[in-house]
Amino acid sequence: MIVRFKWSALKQSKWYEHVIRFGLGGLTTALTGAVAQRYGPTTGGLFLAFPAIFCASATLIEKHERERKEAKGLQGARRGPASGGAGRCRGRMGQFSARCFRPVRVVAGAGILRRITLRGRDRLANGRSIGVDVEAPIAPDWLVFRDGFGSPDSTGSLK
Amino acid sequence: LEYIIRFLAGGIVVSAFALLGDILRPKSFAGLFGAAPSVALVTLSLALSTLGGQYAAVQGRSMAIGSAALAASSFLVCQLLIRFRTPKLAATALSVVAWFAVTFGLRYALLDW
Repeated sequence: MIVRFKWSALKQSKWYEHVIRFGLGGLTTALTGAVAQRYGPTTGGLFLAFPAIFCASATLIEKHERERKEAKGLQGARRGPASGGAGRCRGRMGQFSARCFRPVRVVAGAGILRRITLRGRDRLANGRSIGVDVEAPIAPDWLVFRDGFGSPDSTGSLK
Repeated sequence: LEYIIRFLAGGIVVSAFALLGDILRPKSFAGLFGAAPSVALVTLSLALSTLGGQYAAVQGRSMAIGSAALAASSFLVCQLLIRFRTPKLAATALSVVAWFAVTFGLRYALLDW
């Protein structure tokens, strides 16, 4: 790793950004002294390692990166790999929820299948046709048979 | 007057380390200065000069606990920014919450026997 100074980085900062840093740093130091006086050195000492610099710098770094991208004609907003990351995050949440609800789905699916099979067997035994209504995609409506068989009645139970 | 001195000295030291972090490259090296003991430099200096070594030693012991919390919050913010692409402001806000949780958790676990 070659360490070097990039002096042009100083030009990216506006004067008010330095004021914000100065203010945040000074405020943290003054508050640390106040906490130490009020609650003693044990509690006050904890704040000696407060992440003052990072908090003051991280948000400004984001702003500078965005401005640098916009200056190069790139869209400053998050896109590309970042949006891919968000998609991956959503995908993982989906996998997580699927994993959590899989036992419920299996049990519920088995129950519904058994119900359909038994009712279908009875209907076939009676010489009547069965089918699935494809225009009603949400359960339990997608299990409704063409002639209304299997649709929920007023009490909520399947016909 | 003491608080004004603290404010000015703290502001200068924090700004100096932040500037150093800005101009140094690569960023992986410059990030080290984000954990510089800027607040500690001013506070411990004032404590040593006005209240003596015993007081500063107690503060230093607590600072070690705060440093562990700083490491934890830095790890958290790194994971939030790289893995979850969280906005920087939200990530830093969450890291501060984590810092408070870890530092006071450790303080009551280790120092309040």
